[in-house]
Amino acid sequence: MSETILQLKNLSRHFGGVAAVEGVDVEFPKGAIVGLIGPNGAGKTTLLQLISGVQMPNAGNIVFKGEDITRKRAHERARLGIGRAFQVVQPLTGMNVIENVTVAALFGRNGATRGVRQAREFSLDILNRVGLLAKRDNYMSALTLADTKRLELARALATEPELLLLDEVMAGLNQSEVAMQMDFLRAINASGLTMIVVEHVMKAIMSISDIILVLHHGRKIEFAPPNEVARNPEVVRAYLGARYAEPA
Amino acid sequence: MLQTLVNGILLGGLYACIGIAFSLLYGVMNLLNLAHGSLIMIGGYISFFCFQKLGVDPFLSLPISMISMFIIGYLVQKIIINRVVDANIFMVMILTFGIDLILVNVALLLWSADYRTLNAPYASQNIQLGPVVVPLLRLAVFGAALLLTAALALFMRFTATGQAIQATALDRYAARLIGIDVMQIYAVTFGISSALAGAAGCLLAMVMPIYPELGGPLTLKAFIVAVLGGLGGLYGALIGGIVLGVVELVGAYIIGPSYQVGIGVAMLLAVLVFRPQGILGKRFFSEVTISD
Amino acid sequence: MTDRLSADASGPISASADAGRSKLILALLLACSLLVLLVVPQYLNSYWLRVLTQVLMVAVLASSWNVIAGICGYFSFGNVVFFGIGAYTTAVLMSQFDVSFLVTIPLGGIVAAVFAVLIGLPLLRLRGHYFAIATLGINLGAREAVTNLDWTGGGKGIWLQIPDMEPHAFSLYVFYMMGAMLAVTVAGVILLLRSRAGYAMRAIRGNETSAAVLGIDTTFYKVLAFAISALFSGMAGSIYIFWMGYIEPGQAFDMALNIQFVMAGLMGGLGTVVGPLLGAAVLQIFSELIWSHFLQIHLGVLGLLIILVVLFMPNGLISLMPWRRK
Repeated sequence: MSETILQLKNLSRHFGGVAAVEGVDVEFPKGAIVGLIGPNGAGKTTLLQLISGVQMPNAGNIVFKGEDITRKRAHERARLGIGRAFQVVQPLTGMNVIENVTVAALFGRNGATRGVRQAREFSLDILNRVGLLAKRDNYMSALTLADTKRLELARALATEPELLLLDEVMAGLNQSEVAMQMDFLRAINASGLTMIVVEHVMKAIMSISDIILVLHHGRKIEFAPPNEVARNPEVVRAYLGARYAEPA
Repeated sequence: MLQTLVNGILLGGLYACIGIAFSLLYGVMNLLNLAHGSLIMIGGYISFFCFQKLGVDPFLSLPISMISMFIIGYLVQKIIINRVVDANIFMVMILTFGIDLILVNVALLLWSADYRTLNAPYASQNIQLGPVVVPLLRLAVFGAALLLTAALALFMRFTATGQAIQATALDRYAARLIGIDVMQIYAVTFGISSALAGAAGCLLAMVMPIYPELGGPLTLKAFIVAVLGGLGGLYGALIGGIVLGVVELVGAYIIGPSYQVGIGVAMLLAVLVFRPQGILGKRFFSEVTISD
Repeated sequence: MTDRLSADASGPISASADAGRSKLILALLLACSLLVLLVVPQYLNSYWLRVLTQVLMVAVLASSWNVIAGICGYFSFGNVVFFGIGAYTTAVLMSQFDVSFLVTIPLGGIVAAVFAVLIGLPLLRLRGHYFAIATLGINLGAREAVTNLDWTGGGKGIWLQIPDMEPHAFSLYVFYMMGAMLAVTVAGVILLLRSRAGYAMRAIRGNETSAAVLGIDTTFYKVLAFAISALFSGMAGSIYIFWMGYIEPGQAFDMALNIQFVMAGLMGGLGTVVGPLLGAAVLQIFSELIWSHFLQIHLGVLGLLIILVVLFMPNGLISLMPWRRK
């Protein structure tokens, strides 16, 4: 097994009386595509919030590249190399596409080394890779849903992350768009980027992931390659209910 | 000292009256009504003229004030504010400020800048409760304030409209889905808030002189009361009002009368920094502070 | 999926040529007005000179407010407090320590900026309405504090020594100072918008959570924006009190002035360089017209104007300009 890039130790997060994430203990291998699945309310988004630093855990630790980042704020984690594409797209309103990506290029992992002009050029390159170059001067209202998802991805990439968190980047896309997105994700993974992908499009995630983390009621119930996960009765039960679980 | 405490509580009742309507508007429509003070002012003038020209006892002119103000408020919301409910919250706030300016100007033109005092016949009667002197009028005002709060609470819980308002406050999109005409509810809510402002104005006119520019300081008081108790909460405003009244007078007694306004401001800032949700409020995660 | 640059040559490139032409026209207009502003005042009487100086001052205040409100997205409703602090700094330094006026200008700005950092750290954690109310509270608090202190002259204020200058020359001097202040402020805003800090602030306005996740230290940049707006407002305050020769709490922390520059900013259009300038000019013209002809209803007309702007022109006059199509 390759080295560990991210380690979650006994991670918990409560909201009032509800445990959104409870005692999660995982080691994510570097360079892998990790699928994160689980029924609605399982705690997937909360887990991403905890890793990216938007929320702080109530208990447990997060170790990234050997460094304990549990108390570090979101922007510090971004500079260390954790990038994030949100589920509900959060573009920077009032700024056009190229400006959105330029911001990321200015403040991401290597941002401090760039001036504004260099950041812009870097952003043009990224926009080209995701296919948004022609729309670089457009504002948010002029973009389709697929475009905004690409923008979200472009911004995350412009921060030059070593670990990329993707929250349902394929939601709302049609079949051909999903296929293109998957090809794209494989391509960027090939360049060494570790990815944690939250997705409900089961076929997509099963085919793209090296290893899958299954959450249910905030707890980890499985962390194994896709074919093992598909056969795990507990996973089936979590998704479909006890009736459909088959004996191992 | 005890006297000061009692005075503070009585003053607090009045403050609570001012704050409740303000809080209501924020809770339902996320609107900070900068014209609130001026609405109170107009309610006060209505009472004043009812008393002076028609000889109506101020407490009896309360419903007159309330009804007139309800109509005004309803129309204002329907015609003006409803057009921009989806806009930036500051734009709406500034809109109410524009309305405030117009109200003040109208008052100045109609009634001049003179101070008007409403001298009810029972104005100077007092009751002696042990060591404390309680002005009858102030006690009555306090009682009225409590009554109004109770009436509003009952209205919200037990009438169809009240429940529709609560539903809209919780989630206006969901409310729309179950068939509530949100725009109409907004108009009604603003009307109710204005009616309460009118009532507050009526009560206010009994204990202090009124003049067109009265609105400004009143709106500020309403802010402080509502924030203290928890913006958007009904009972919070009641508690906030009493707390403010007591702290202001006790503080002024200890430090000095010129600090009365300053104390209110200091409390506002302290609450905003240390406990923005107020005494009773619940934490709205993304609304109040940034969870970093 | 990967479209190349050559695929769409007509779209973005010709659009930017159009914008380029409009910007050239704007630059020429600005140059002309600059020339006019430099030469004409010599021949104006003191009334108009005063009006123009007022316009310049409101423009400075609107532009500084624009930095925290328009660019960074935090609507401060009490920015006049920085103006007041700058004014009082100059007043105290000049009257009690005999510091020369020109030296007190940057000091006024710096004191205001330091104050901004101190109150910004707790207050900028608040969002939306709460931040607005809090800044309102700060302004009132400052006024109360200054009124109750002795060394600030208390409620009676501070009088400055009358400068040794012929009245018309004095008015001209103040006018040019205010003009220079405006130039400095505008230059500052332009530089800011082009810098990394500018991008950070605009990102914070766009979506604060996203901005954080993209690596922006939001606290730092918010406080910076607040401090920059305080710096320019404070310096304007310093010049103001030198102009008036007298300061008292109600005048320094004047909510009416606050409303003026907020209105100017909104009317002109926030987030842009030209917007606040345009707004200040238009607002002053309106005010002059109304004040001289309709004194009785000037409040009401201002209120009506506010309502109309919010209902029909929420992005300000600048959004009506041809090259600003979003």
